[in-house]
Amino acid sequence: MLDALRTSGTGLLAQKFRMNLISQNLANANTTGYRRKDVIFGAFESFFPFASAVESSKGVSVLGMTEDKSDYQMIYDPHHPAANGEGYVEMPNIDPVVEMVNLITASRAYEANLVAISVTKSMALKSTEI
Amino acid sequence: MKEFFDITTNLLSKALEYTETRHRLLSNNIANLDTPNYKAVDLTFEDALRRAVEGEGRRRGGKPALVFYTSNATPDPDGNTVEIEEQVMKMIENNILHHSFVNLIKMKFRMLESAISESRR
Repeated sequence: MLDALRTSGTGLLAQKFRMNLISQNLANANTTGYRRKDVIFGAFESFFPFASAVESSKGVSVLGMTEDKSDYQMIYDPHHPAANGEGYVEMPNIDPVVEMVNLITASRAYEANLVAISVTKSMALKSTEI
Repeated sequence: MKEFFDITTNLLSKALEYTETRHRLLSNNIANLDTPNYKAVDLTFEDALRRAVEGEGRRRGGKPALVFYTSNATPDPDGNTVEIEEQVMKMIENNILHHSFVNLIKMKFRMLESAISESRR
């Protein structure tokens, strides 16, 4: 029962990691040569192939980060110190609207995990009344 | 001694097992609500009840296997089938069920207690 707490904890950490990456993207929206970062989630898998779904229910883990491989946005600015031969600067492909939507999604997911934790607490405390 | 742990108490303890297991599964669903290709799982009450009733009196050591039903809702573009609203509602419903079962067990033990104390007079 209390490992439900640990499971929800992994959810909180994963969403927080994601929010950190989104903040980093927003902060570096004007940094030349910066590539947008995103997170890869994976469900925690049990080591035993015949483990039941209950035993494998250990939450979510962050498998890693990816960098956006799409082309840079080329801005014409010949006076920029990082301008290339033709006067273009490589700017990141970061859309603040997309990042804000992702940020809202991540914070909703974070809140849902908080709800799960408060329900776990309520059930565990109720059980002690028997 | 057999009268203390009769069929009601046993069924109620199986019911609590059901609500606690289900809560762990639902917590896992919520933790994985953004994981690509994750399918939401849940338990059905009818199945748990059948398992509890059939398990009575059987001393073979093996319980009938729990059947998890995986949601066959339309997955998101990344393969995830967790609906945050549905999971939170299920979790709250499960919480209420759990509280009800605990209250029933409390009442059962209180009945036993009053039977024991009354008989002293």
